[in-house]
Amino acid sequence: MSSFSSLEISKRALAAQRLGLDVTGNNIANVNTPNYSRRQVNFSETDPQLLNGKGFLGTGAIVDNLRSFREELFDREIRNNLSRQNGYSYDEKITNNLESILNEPSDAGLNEIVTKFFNSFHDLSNNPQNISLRNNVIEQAKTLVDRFHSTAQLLDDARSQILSDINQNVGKINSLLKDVADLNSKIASAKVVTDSDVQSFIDKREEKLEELAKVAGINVTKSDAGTVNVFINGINVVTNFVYSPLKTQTDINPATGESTIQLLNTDSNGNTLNYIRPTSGEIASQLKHYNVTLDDKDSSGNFSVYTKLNEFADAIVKKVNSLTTTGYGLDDTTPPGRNFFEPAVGNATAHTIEISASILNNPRNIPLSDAPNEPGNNVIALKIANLATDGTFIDNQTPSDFYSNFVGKVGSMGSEAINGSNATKTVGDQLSNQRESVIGVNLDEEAVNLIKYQKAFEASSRIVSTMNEILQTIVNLGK
Amino acid sequence: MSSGKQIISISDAPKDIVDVKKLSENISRNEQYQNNIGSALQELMSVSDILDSTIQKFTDIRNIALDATQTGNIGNLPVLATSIQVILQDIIKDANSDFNGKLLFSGTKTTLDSITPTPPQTNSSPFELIKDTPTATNPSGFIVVFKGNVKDIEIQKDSKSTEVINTKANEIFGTGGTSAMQNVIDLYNLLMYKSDGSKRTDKDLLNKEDLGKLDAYQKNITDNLQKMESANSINGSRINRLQAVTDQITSENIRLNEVKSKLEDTDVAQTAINLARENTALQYTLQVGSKLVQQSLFDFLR
Repeated sequence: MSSFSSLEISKRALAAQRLGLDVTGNNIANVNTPNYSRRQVNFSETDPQLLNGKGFLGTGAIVDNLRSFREELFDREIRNNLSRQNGYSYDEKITNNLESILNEPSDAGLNEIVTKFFNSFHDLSNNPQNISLRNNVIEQAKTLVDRFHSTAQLLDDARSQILSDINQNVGKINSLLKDVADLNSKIASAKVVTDSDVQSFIDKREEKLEELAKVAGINVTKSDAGTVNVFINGINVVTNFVYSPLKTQTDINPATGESTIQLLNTDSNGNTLNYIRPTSGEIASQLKHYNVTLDDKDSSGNFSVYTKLNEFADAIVKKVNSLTTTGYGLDDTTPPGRNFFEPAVGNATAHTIEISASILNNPRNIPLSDAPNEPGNNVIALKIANLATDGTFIDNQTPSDFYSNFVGKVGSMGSEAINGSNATKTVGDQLSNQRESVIGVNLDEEAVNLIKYQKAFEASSRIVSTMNEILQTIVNLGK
Repeated sequence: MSSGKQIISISDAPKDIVDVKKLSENISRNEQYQNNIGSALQELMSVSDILDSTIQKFTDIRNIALDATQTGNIGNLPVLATSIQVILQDIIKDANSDFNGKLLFSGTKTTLDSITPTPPQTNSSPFELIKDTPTATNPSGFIVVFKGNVKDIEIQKDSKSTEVINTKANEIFGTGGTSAMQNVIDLYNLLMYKSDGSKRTDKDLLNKEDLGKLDAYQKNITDNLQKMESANSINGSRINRLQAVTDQITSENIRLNEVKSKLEDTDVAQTAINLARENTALQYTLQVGSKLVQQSLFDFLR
């Protein structure tokens, strides 16, 4: 044991405490960095020296390792919650849009227009020979048809917007999958290189995984090498350093013409591998709304706004036509079999519903009488007016009940989305707070560490200074 | 507070929205029934006025028949007959009345367009007094023809029931819609013509057979009057029923609007209390939050 040993101990101590100060400084600098996990310096005593059979003397301390406080449990729960939250948020956005398209709640929605249409037949039934009242029926029918057309167009626009969102999200997913695969590679490499900051790569990867989870629900498994594999609904999309890009595919049902968007993963040559059906995340919501809610030919049996709207338009066309074809206009002497609405053959939709040209051009042609040459005969007019209260009009409901329940379902969809969004946001906040309390930077704690390392550094410096004086004294002994 | 509504979005209360929609539809439908009834009531009142007028004219004719038996009028029979002819023409004018262009007593043939006259008819009015070939029983040759029909016209007065609103020709004028007027023509013929078909002069008095006929015609006209009064009374009952339904619908709509308002309108007092309470909570949270932000160990290390 020499005097130089003490200097050596002090040197190690200075280096260790300085590293402590560096880590603390880095923690403080990243206090507001998202997903940053705080680091902690772990010191360990260096191997002691044997003192001529009198025992062991310590040789100081070194930094054994830097501990990171990343917690996989929180990360997994936060990712799952983010997927659900973003799915609900997109649901909420769609239902808000639907409310706007349907103009509900208001006194000028489709329901009110349908009611006014049937009421115009009530007015006309009082004076079926009155041409101005016949014109009023045509005007109300025009308003009805226009509303169906504009609603259908807005639903088409909303569906197109979703398709654009899906394509953007597929691009985003692919970019994130690539980033995760690249970071896997960096982490694996860093593990074998001394002094590499693996943890910063892990933090960045977690940030990317969370971004990915917002778009599509994922499962993540870890390997011993520190890399992760990523799965979307059981399909592997990142395996260590390799990722499998996603793409969309439009499938057309030849029988119904129904078009659905499918998500597939591909190999490195672009060949499709598997259908991917995310169960949560923004893209799951987008696929659901594109393929079901806003699909005008949806055959899934789930609630489709567009299909219901088409059913409504078709019921109006068929029910009104079934009565007008048995009636006579003011100038008809033989049964004309005249339809009020087109198309008379096949199913009408919100897009295709039109007023028959023969009626549009001549109000005298509206068949309101059940016998020829009886302008005051209102039998057909009354029957049409009473369709408004016909409990078998559509799905064993009146038109108003059908539409009210339809709007109610849209409302329930929105309510579920809002509740889900609020609940997942609360859970998300709690999880983030809990994770932050474990991995986040606590400025109070860092301030204490700062003082601790500063004082230790000062004390170690003092040892060097003392040893310097001692050595000076020893050197001066020889003079 | 600003919108006055507690349901801003259908997602706020989907079940309530369904109820509000159904209530709105019921209210709107009731308003439509009120419109139907309002329009029908005006027509029925017009019919009532015309029936009153027609009844008065038939009463006048019956009085003329009575006058014909009075000693003072013995020589005035052709004059009385001429008066009856004028009144008959007025009755036909009443029978051809319309309300806002809608013929009132011709069933479902409510416009002149729908009536095509066939000779010897000369016009498209539902009732027409025409002069046909004189016969022994009808020396004047006058006949009244009815060109309409006797079909009902109904309106929907509520969601479950309809009401016939037209008074048909046969209900007023008897069989074929003209029998009462034909009775008047019989009376006219009796006073204007002798039994041999020649015109009566002021010296031609009613014989015993004529008096027997006059008595029978008076009775017929009295029967016709009773029928008309019955038709008028039925029309009055319709007016009363429809007015009662209007009152009932008005009450129902007041109740429906109250229920609807409870569901969709803001309870201003409660909302104001909630606003004040939430504002207090916000202020308190901001104060506590601002103190929390100030606390840091670094503040004590100077």
